[in-house]
Amino acid sequence: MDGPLIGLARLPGDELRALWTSIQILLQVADNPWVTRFRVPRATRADPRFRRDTIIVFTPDQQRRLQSLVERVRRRGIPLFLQRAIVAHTDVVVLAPDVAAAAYGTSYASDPIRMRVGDGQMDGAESVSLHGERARAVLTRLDDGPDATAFGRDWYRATLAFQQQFESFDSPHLRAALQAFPDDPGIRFMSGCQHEALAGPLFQAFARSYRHSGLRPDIDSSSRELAAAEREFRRALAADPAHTEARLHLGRVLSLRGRHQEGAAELEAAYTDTRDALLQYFAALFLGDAHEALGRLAVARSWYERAARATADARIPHLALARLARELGDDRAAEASLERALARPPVEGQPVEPWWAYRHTQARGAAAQLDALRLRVVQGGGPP
Amino acid sequence: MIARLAGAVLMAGLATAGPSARQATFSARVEGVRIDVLVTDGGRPVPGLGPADFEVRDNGVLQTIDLVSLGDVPLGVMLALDASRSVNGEQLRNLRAAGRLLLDGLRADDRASLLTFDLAVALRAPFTSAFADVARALDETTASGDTALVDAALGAVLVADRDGGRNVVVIFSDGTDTASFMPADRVVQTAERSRVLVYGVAAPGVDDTGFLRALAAGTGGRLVELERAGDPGAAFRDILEEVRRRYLVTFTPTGVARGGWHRLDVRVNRRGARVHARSGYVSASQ
Repeated sequence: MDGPLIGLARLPGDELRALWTSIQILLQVADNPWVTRFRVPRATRADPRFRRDTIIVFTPDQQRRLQSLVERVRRRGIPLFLQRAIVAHTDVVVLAPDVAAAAYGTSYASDPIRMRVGDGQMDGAESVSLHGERARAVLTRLDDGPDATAFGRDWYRATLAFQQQFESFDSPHLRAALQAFPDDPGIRFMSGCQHEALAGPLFQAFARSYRHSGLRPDIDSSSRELAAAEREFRRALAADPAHTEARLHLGRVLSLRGRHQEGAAELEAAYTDTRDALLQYFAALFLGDAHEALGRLAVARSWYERAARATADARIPHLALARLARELGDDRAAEASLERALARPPVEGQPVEPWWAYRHTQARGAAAQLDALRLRVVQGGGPP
Repeated sequence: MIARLAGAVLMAGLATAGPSARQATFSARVEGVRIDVLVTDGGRPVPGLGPADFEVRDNGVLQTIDLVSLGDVPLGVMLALDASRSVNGEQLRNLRAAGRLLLDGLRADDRASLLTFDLAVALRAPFTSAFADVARALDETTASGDTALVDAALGAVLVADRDGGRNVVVIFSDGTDTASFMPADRVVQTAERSRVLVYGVAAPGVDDTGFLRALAAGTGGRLVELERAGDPGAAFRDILEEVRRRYLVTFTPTGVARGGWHRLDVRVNRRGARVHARSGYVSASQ
C-alpha cells in the first residue's frame, strides 16, 4: 500500500467520515446537479429505519461550485484522489472481505445478497459489500474522460477477475461493467465465462435447490446461459479476433450446445494460435470430446493423447482414453490409462488436474491486474 | 456384454448345472451372452424359476436358453462412494459403517473394491478377497470438494468390467454431479455395453437422480432412494441380498447377425412379475 493510502488509513474516524461524506455529496450532484439537500446518515449500524440523520442544505453558491467540480472531473477524468478512493475501497474487499461484508450492516429483504455455493449447495450468504458498491458508484457517475475510461476499464477487468477466481459471480457488477464498456473484449470475455460457469452442473444444481424458496439466484437455465455465453464470446472475438482464450471457450460452449463440428473448428484454431500450455491442454481435451461426439474415435484418441502429454497432472484425458481404448478393444491401453486416471489424488498444495480449476482459469491473472492498478495509482497515473 | 464363457465365473456357474454342461462348453469355447436378471413381484425377488420360465429375444429373435442359475456365483462388489464435502461429518461416518456392513455380508470367495470420488476419482482398493484392506481404505476416506459423479461412474464401470467376473458396482451419492468432464449419456452407454451390474443409492433429498437411475437401469440394476437420513447400511445389505437372488441367464446367439448393438428383451411367464435386465449387448463382429 502506498504512503498516502496509509495516511488515509490513519485519519481519525470523524475526518474519514467527513471525506466519505464529501465523496457522497459529489456523487449525488453528479446524479442530479440541482440537488440542494444531502442526508448524512448517523454513524451507527443500528437499524437504519430508526436512525436520525443530519441534513446538509446547500446554498446556491455551494451548489454552483459543486456543479463546476463535477463538470471538471468529468472533463478531465477521474482525479487521482478518487482513483485512490476506488482502489482503497477495492482493497478492503480484496484484503479484508469479512470487514467488507460486515460494513453493510443490516439489510432489507429486497437488498441483494451474495450467496456462497459449495458442491451444489448454499454454504452461506452475505450482504453485497458496501465498499464494492461505493467504488463502482464513483466510476458509473463520474467516468466520462478518456483517461478515466482507461482506469475504469482496468478496474472492472481486475475486479471481475478477482471475483471469478473464487467463482464469485456478481451479476450487478458485471452489468455495470458491460454498460460502461460494452465493446471491451476483456469484459465481454469475463461475461461469457460467467454465463458458461452458471450453465454448468454446479450452479444449475444450486439453482434447482432454490426454485421453491423465496430466494432468486441470478441464474438462468443451462441452455439460456450457454446461449448467452456464446453471444459474449463472439462479441469478445469481434472486438479482438486474437483473443485466443475467448476462442477456446467459444469452442467448448458450441460443443456443449451440440454444435460439435463448429466447436472443433474454433478449438483447433485456439490450439494452433496459443503457446500457453494450459490453454493448449484444454483445447486438446475439448477437441477429444468434440471428435468423440462426432464419432471420430481415432481422431478423438489422438487429441486426448495430446492433452495427456501436456501435463503430468492430467487425469481426465486418461479416463477418456481408457473408455475409448475399451471401446476399440485395446485392453492393454485401457489398463494403462485407467491406472493414471484413478491414481490417488494429490495432497493439498501439489499441482492438480487442470480441469478441476477450469471454471476460474480465466481469472488466473487477477492478482497481477490488481497490482498493476495499485501501482498506477501510486505512480499518479491519472489527472491530479 | 458378450462373454467368452471361460474362467472362474463360468466354472462356478456351471458347477450348478452339472458336469456335462461344463464339458460341452469348454470343448467348443462357445461365445455366449450372459444376462444378469432380477425378477420381482410386488417388489420382492421371485425364487425358483427355471429355463422354461424365461423367454429371451435377441434383436427380436427368440433364443434357446443354455443355463439359468441362481446367483450363487462369487461376486465382485465395488463400492463407489461419494466423498465430496457435502458428505462430511455424520453422513461420512454412517457411510463408512454402511460400507463395513456390506463387507461383513460378503462370502470368502467374493471380492470387494473401493473407489471414492469428490473432484478426483480414486481407486482406493482394487478387487481383493482381503476385505480388511478394503475396510482400512474405507476408514481412511475423508470428504471434501465437489462431486464428479459421472466421471466416477465411468471409472467404476471400467474397473469392474476388467475381468469379466460377475461384478457389481454399488454407487452412493448424496447429490447431483457438480464437476465431471464426461457427458452423462456417454457414460450410461458405456455401462450398458459392459458386463457390470450397477446399483445406485441416492441419499434423501437428492433432487436429480436421473443419471443414477439411467445408469442402473441400463445395466439391469436399479436405483435405491433412501428415505431416512444417514442410513445407507440397510440399503447396501438389501442390495447384496437382492444380487444373490438374481438369475444368470446365458444363451448362444442364433439366427442373428454378429456385430454391433443387439437389443435384448427378457420376459418371464409369471403374471405381474417385473424383469430387470440390461437392454442389450455389443457383439464382436468376428
